[in-house]
Amino acid sequence: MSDAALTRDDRLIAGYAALAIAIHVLEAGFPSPVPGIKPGLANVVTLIALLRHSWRVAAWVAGLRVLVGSLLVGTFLGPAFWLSAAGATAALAALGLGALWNRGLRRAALSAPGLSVLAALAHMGGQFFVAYRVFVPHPGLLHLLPLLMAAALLFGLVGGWIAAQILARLPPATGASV
Amino acid sequence: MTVADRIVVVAASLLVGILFARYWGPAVPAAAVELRSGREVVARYPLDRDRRVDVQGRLGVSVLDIRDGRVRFIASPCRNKVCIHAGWLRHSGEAAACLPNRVSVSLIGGVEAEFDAVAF
Repeated sequence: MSDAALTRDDRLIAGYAALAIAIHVLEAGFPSPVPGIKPGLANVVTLIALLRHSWRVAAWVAGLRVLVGSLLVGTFLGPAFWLSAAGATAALAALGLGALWNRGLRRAALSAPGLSVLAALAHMGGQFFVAYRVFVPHPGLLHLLPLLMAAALLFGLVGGWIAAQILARLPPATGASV
Repeated sequence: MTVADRIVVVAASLLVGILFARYWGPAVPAAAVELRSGREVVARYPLDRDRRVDVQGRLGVSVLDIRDGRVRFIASPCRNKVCIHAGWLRHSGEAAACLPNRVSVSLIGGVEAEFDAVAF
């Protein structure tokens, strides 16, 4: 890889991450009926980065978003940060599996909605696991799990739909790998 | 949406459905209390009769108070008294434990809303 290619990737990552961070911070300002439920629109950016470029770009975008987003919101190294980090890690793992699936089975490939739902469920699952194991190991928390997962499914579908709409309107990417 | 997308969405919906079936229940009053010392269930008592129960644990005796369909720890030979601060338990699926003394109570019965396993 030449220096020029690296610079291009870096610029892409910086641009996507800036967008994701802005959405992350805006979302943090919205009240939520149940802690842990929010639309997660910042993940749409991760998804677009994955589908137009690569998992590597998506991982950088998500990582930077969690790090810088938490610094700006003021939750860095607090419980919310760890939950966010666990969620993002799980979602990236799910997206990685999805990308692998697509590489192996091109004819039955996942597109934005499927990947978004996978990532959203993984995000909520990872977050819930850390919350339950580390912060509040109370069985009552399990009662919330169905509600949280249902919200994840809903917002995953919405996010996937938004990503598909945006992708359809963007000019074709160069070097898409998924 | 591709075929694979549809499969993912259907599978995800099934998962959410299963989770609702398993964990989502209205808080129903429990019918009985199960007492454990260590891993073993040492006794079960219905909640409709008031009584006091002593449970031998690793450090000593934990005392439980069953009254008005509820149960609570009232004494335990531990330092932090987390079990006593847990207060009254009345709903099926609720649990309290004195970890140092290895004594725990869980409420069972009612309609269902019971856990297969609870990890502490």
